[in-house]
Amino acid sequence: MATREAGKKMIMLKSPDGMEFEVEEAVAMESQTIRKMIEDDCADTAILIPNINSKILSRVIEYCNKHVPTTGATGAAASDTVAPAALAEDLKIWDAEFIKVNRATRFDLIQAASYLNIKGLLDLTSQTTIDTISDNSLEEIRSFLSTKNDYLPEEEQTIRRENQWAFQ
Amino acid sequence: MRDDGATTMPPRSAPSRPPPWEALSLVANFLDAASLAAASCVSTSWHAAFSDDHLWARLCRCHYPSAIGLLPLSDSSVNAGDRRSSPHRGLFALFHSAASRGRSLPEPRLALADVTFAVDLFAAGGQNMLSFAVAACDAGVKKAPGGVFQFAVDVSDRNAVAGPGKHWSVRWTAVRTGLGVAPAAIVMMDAKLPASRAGALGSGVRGESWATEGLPAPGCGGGKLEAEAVVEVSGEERLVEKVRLGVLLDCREESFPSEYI
Repeated sequence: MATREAGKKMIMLKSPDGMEFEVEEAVAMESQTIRKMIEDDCADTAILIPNINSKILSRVIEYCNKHVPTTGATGAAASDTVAPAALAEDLKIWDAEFIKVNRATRFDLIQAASYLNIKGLLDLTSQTTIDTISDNSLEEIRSFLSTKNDYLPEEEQTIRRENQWAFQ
Repeated sequence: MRDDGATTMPPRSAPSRPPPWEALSLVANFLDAASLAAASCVSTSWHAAFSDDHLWARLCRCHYPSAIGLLPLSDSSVNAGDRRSSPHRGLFALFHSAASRGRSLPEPRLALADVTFAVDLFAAGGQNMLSFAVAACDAGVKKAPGGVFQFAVDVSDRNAVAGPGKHWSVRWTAVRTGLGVAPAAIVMMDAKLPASRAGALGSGVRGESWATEGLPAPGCGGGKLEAEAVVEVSGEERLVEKVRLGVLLDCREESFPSEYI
């Protein structure tokens, strides 16, 4: 995890399964939810993050670490020489690698990103599902996302008729 | 097949677990209208996640702002058995169908008493400038000389400013809202208006822009009908003061059935 550097304020994030993660305040504040807690002085040095287990929380912190703006960071001499476009490209490749997780993890990350209000992470984690829903037929969606059609026949008929315009 | 699940992780944790409802309803915020409507047909829990009225209210506001004004009139007729439908989704579907059918509908016959007019004005950049919905019976519809009918809506209290663009566009939809009948909508006109010349003149000067578009003939006399929209603006700020709409007879004067709009 984050290494302690002089002058950087650290925050302890706790998951409900008892794990503790020490992160830089700037990294934690990638989450608008945590930022608000800190700005409103509701946060002690340790913040309990409910509903997000340590496995998911550690992935979220990994994402925030990568995405925290490097501007103003001391000792970031390496990135001074890199053009912003190259940095953005690097982030994109990193994101693509980051999101290679199984479906259950992805949905957990979506919910974590929403609760912690991290827009970039929510966009990233939702995209695969958005594509699946937008690009496929009903039958394909059901099979890809393991969802059973539990409509009664007449119910389905009504729903289909109501939404017929979307299939044209 | 993009969503094949386990790419790097071993599929040890029940790979066939369907997505949780909470996550679906978060994804719903990002979906376009057609995907949202289609997705609600997947299963009952998907219906719950994708039919939330606030999702459809947002889409209505974005695509058919004037439709919002029709909401109190439409709730009784759009429901689907046990599963309550989102009233905004019903409205969206109505306006979407009218817009995609365009103006190819033959012989629309609606009685003015049952009709509400929904009007959206868009600035050159596509942003919504002004929208309103007005029942024909409240609009002061009167028979126009040389036309079928016309009415004017005073919008001077709306503070709508006509942008600096060269063109605005107007979409005028007539919606049948009578009790006991299925809602129906037709697009009366969907046209571009050249921007008013008033902006070039000094302050306090009025100007107006107008556009017409032919309507399908009512099939009872061969006369040609046109829908006309006139936007009155005034002042340097180009405040929209009044919108006049009407159906005019293009070539010859003849009696037209009053149920034709």
